[in-house]
Amino acid sequence: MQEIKKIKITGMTCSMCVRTIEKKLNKLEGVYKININLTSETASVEFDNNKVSINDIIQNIEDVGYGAKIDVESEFPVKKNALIFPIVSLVISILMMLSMNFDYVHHKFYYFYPIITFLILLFLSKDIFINAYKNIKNYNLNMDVMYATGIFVSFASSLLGTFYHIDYEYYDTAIMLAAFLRIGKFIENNAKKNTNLVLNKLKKMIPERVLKKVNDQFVETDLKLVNKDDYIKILPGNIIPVDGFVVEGNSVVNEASITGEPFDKSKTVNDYVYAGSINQNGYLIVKVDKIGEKSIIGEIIEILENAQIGKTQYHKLVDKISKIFLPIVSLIAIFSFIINFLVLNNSLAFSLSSAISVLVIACPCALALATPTAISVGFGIAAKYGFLIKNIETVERYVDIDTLIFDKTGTLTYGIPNVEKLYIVKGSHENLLQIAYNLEINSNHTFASAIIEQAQKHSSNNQLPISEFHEIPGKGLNAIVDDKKYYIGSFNYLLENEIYLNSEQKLLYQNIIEQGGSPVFLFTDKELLAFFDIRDKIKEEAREIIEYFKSKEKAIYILSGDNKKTVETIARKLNVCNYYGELLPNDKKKLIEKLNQEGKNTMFIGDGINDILALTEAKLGIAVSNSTDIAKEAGDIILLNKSLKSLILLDKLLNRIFFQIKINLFWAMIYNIILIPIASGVFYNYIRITISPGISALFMAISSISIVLFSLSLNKFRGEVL
Amino acid sequence: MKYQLEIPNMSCNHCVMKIKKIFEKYSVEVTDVNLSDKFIIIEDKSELKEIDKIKEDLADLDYFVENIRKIE
Repeated sequence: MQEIKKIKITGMTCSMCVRTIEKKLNKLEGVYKININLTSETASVEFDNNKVSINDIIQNIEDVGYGAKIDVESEFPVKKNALIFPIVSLVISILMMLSMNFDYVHHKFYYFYPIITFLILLFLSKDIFINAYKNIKNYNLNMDVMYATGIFVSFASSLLGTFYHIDYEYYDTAIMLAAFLRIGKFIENNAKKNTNLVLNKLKKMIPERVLKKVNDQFVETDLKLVNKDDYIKILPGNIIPVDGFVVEGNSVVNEASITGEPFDKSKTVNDYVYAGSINQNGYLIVKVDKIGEKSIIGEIIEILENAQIGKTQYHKLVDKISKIFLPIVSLIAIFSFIINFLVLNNSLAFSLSSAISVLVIACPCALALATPTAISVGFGIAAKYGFLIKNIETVERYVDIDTLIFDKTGTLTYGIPNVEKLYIVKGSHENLLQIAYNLEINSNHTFASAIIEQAQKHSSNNQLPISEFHEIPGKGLNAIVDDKKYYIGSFNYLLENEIYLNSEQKLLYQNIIEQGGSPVFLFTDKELLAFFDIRDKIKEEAREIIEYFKSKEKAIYILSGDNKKTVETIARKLNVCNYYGELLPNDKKKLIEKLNQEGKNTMFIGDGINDILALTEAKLGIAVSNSTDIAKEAGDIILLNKSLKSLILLDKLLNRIFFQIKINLFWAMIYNIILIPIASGVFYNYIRITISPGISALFMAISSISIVLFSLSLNKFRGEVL
Repeated sequence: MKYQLEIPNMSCNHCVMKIKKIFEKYSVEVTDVNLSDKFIIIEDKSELKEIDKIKEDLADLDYFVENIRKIE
């Protein structure tokens, strides 16, 4: 049976490691797909459990020198005092280096140097050598092989110096190399963890203990023991651990961690509260609806985790570079030795040091970390502001977008329409409202809520027997209410049923449309009964958003299922020239398809569920979510924050993330391009600068750390208060 | 011609390197080194014509040559 499992992997430092594991697992029969996330150190493996077991997969990962566990939530034990031994070793190496300049001490400890160095290396770089051995056994060249080669050459040459008197004796270098590698990896791993800070914070946010109602009393219990429909009590100041309905109490709740909206919301009986929000001042008793992974915070975590799986074009570029990187670096190291020693007549010590420096300073790690660290930090910040970015490719696709297509209802307008007026053609006000109420009560359309509200306002909300309910998307609906068939819907739906307006009604109809209203007609198969003038207000910030994107030279389109005149009125008010009305969901899709074919890079912004086709057809889909079931939303980005202004913030953030990726890649490239030739020593006679192997190890660590720090600088991104 | 030179305070690789450099200066090749028995073997086509200068240079570095023995 096909199965997808997440695995926690440790010991990966760069894309070489990712490639090694992918290569190994791809050879296993029954493994279909592997996605590895370097920064979160997790892998998602799709496999057939009849052909290969998860234990085999883990064993294979371990065989190439990495740690693997099924439980992704668990952390591998962090060795306490992991830095002490490398630092002590570093001090010893410095003392060794100094002592070698004092003949008396050097003579005294002459044969101790190799013994001390061997013992230190045994403890300090045992893992590097074991991993290098495993990789060589699998015909694989990775950074551990390079490091192990560097340390080994440095130590072996020093031994030759001691016993066979070649011009090389730098035990201190071998130790320094190993120590800096350990220190560098430690700092890098810690910094890397910070790139997933928001994700980790979200995971730790939900309290493990809750007050659950048992036999009319609230007792503290483990959250794992709480089920749907249980009652839990949330005290002031506590984080709400589940999604559910308030059944008792009043309070003010802050949902900033979910929606990014900083404003507190008051909650009372029948209101819905979300896991992860903070109960501010009163107690609340909540009937549990969704827990753990199914709660809104669980879904956000899942989307965030999955978003980082996959590869951007930059990942693919780095993968390509990595494939040739190490063989090329090895060749450069060999050539630098040959040129230094044989051509430039430099000393053996200098030539060997230079070759080792090249092996160590070459850093594909920085290249590999450039994109994923920026993505991790950036997506975390996005989540903080209430933007859920579902795919890693989103950032790349976003920067190419030149055409923004807005859905009207619910996106540019509030999507909460009101009945402005009811024009009666035949029948009583109460009776017509009653019929409309019974038709619309079964519909999810935004106009339905306006009619229902109007009926409730006039107490015309009695339930009548209803049967044969049919809803035609984008047009209207019909049903048999109280033994008679009624229709309610758009002007086109009216015409389709061959009901025509008289001149007076036409005038009224035109008037409604020119005012930006949407007429909804109630009719039988013989005659028109009434029509509703339904108005939806334009969001205050809509004009600002449109102007912002226009200033960025983006083409703006408005699409709507609403009638053309209404759409035109709204478009005019918003200063938009491209608008289309009376579009069915499939028409919107076709229009976007046409724009795509014209070579436009389209982005559709719609209110989620209604616009699935358009959201998926556009090159990028943004769902302005009004739903709590976010995992089911179509779209590459979900805006949990309903303010349209958040689009400006999103634009700035995505551009900033993209800029960061480019800076990181540039830095990683330039670092290698400049330092490898310097380390090779072949230009020493001209530039008088060279880099010793120990310092190379330091530089190597700095390159990776600097990339992580660059990415963490994204944390300085500040959005305006929405 | 090959000669064996005893240098009692030659103790480590650094000493060997320093000593080798002096011999190289006078185009004398050091062919073997024995640190534990404190001697080196050199090959000198000039039949130790410059040995006094070499000894002086070595003495400047505090390496004193004792017992020079022709071995080939």
